[in-house]
Amino acid sequence: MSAGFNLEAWGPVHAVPTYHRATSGERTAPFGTAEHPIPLIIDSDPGLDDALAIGLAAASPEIRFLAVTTVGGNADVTRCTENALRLLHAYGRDDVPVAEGAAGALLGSVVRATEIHGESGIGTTVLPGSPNAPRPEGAVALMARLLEESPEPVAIAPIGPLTNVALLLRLYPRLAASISHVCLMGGSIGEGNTTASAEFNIIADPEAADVVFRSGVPITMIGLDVTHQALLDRAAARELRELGTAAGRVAADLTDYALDRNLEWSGAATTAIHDAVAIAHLMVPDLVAVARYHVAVDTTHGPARGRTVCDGLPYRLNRDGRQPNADVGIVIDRERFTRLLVDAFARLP
Amino acid sequence: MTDSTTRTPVIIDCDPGHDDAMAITLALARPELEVLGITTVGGNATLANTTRNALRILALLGRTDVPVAAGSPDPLVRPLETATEVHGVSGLDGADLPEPASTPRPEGALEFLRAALDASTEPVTLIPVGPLTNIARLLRVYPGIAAKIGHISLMGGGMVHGNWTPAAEFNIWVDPEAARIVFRSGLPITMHGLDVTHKALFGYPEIERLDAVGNRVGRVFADLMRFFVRFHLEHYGIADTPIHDAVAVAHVALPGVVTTSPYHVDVEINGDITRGMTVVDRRPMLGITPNVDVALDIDRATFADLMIEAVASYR
Repeated sequence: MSAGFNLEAWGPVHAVPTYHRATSGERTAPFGTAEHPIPLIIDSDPGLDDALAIGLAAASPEIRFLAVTTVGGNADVTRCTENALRLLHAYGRDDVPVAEGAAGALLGSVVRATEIHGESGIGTTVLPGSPNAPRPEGAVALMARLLEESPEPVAIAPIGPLTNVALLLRLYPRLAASISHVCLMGGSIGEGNTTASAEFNIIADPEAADVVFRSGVPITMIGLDVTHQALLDRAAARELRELGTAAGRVAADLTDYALDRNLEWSGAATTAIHDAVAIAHLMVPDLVAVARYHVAVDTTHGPARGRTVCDGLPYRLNRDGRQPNADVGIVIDRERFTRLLVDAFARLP
Repeated sequence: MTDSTTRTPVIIDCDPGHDDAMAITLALARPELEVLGITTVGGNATLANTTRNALRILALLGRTDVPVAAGSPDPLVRPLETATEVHGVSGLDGADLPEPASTPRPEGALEFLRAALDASTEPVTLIPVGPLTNIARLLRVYPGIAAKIGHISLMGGGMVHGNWTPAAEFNIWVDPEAARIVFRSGLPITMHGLDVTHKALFGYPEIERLDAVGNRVGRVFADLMRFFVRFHLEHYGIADTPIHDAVAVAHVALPGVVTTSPYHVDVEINGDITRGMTVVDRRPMLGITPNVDVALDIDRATFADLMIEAVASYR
């Protein structure tokens, strides 16, 4: 699995420790194929990169797309819900139900990223309205029902704050057994983005992230270490636009907006499509290299709040009586990722 | 040869410690430095042991003229945690070191530091390579003396990663409150954290070079390094062993040998799993005023040459 990955690229990218690192190993996450698609719920706060992640899932026969549940994060939850409905409509997937979840974190705080994603969550893009409405039962109840009704365990890809998933695990503990895998976008081994220590999705609700990482459910953490290698540039945006489809235009508009914001924000000519990596990992067995870590979340209120503390050193894990609880993404092939996204959008209307 | 009038006056604050011993050996060999004294602190081992080890190293080096003053046995707030699994119970296991041939100064580290800084006609560089307890106490007890500190070149921390815990490096972990006092002092600080010290490596090839020097100092350090390598091999699976503390000395003796970049650094003191983490903010877009030069890089071969040259300079 690790053959062909440039592990040297791991170190310098995001100040991931280089003296010792966990050994790149076999993934534990399941993945879908066209013959046996993986049943998947996306829990999301769309969100520019969320929109591309949802598009990737919508277009891919490897995924049996059960639902999008929404959570307040990149923008207010009502905006995120409307965005999810409209995105699915634009992608020709009105069959995928949407349900609205938590407006704020478990302990009530509200963290937003509208300076990146715009007040609407999807920049300046205006999408046609959807004929659908969100399901009345709400996100957590819909997730619970889908898990109960599914003949096989279901994967969840939380690509926003982990509030809904934490509530699901707390309200329906017996349904943990029906979750095949939580493949989440959030956290980092190295540096954060919202703070020096913390990535946005985790610091938006550290207590929820703590519940999820302690749950015992199989987890893959797709953090900044790998998502900052999953970059689109202007050329990729142009390719998406030149598909000549409505979905391609949406993806191009969102990517261009993200590129503009990132140029202002950090001077970079690329933009990380964080959330789509979590979806891609559930479709392509050898796109993302992972290593086993024990991941714990700082829920205190100092400068490290929201930090995902990743330990992959066997002697320290033994000393402290801890076991690895997550696959952590470390390397992705940027070119293959770009192709995967463009090819997916080429299949959308 | 640098003229003595242009030497940088330094005080080494340490908890020897295998890599501390290398730091002392390098500092006393460099013509660019005038070592005013060595102060000790509880850290890698108890204060009694770190003080005794400092005296034994000076006996080995034939430099019993260098004053040693014992400082704080315990961190500012929490009880001391030693690193006997890394350095052995004595703090300097693995070699046949001579007994001390001098005694510590009666006034202790705090008064020694104050008097030495006070007496210096030019700003003094402090090189703390253990927990920062003594330096924090100095800044709190004698705030006026900060004006005599030209630079603090410290070993400690790491950019969002550690060694003792996944988040915290040992020196900061032992006394995070002291570290926060120092990092927030406004004094010019260079932080030599794990990012750079994990590049200042001694493995078997370098140990062979220590043996080949042919003097007693070389033989003793080869033995010390064999002990130090064993820990890293057993616990990290890596024979290449970081000589953390000597990097902070190399930076003062030879500006330019260590690459640094200015960033904002704060110390986490409360986090249940992040206590002792140095939070280094490298995000360029926020316009945060840097307070620390963070060391990023050193050339392994250059560093090894410096160390071997230092060892060879003793009889």
